Amino acid sequence: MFMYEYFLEKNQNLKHMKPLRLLALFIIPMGLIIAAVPQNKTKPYKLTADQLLDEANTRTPVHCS
Amino acid sequence: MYLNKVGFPSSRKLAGVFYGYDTVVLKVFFAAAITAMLGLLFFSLFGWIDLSLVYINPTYLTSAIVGGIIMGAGFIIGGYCPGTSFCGASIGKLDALVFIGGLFIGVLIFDLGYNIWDGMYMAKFLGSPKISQTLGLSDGVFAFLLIIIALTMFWVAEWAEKKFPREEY
Repeated sequence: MFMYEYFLEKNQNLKHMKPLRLLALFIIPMGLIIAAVPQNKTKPYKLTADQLLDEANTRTPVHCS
Repeated sequence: MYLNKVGFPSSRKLAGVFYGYDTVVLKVFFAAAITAMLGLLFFSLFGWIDLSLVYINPTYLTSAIVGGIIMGAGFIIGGYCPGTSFCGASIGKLDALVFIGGLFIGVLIFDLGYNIWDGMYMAKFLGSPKISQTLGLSDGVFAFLLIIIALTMFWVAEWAEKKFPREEY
């Protein structure tokens, strides 16, 4: 069964909602959250390929600045 | 399987976008795009992915416009895009197989004549600009605006389906 159908099966009250409204119900709040986050909060993940290898070799976590 | 479920193997689905009687293709692709966009931004927020390392296709403006016109004409004449033609071929549709044949002929013509359109192909190189940077917006604000645009477009698409109905096919 597709995830969408499974989700509706579990949430009967949403079953009669139009798909467009259902999509809007989820995606607008998520868009608002991501819009409210300052750009500099999206920090880069710590590792370059070299850092990854170092971390694997030394078995010591590398922290990005 | 998913593409088959939404009816993509039918050439009338894609043609329907142009005529307004069936906009499923538009809705599926745009919904997938905004979902992926939100996913990437949240992954970046949680520190799971570094967006500065994500490859952005470089922009060659002239070839993007010319290619867009050729592809668009091909979509409406053939009723398929490359992806949906392979969906159609996977369930044995002959028109999809013919479309794929044409696709490879086009690739061959482009390859053999590359020296002729090399200049046009590489013209107006703009690097890898992002619309959000060009407009001076943060990625998050641009994402929210795009979501609103997408939802409005879906609403207009559903209106068009009612306005230009076609008998069941």
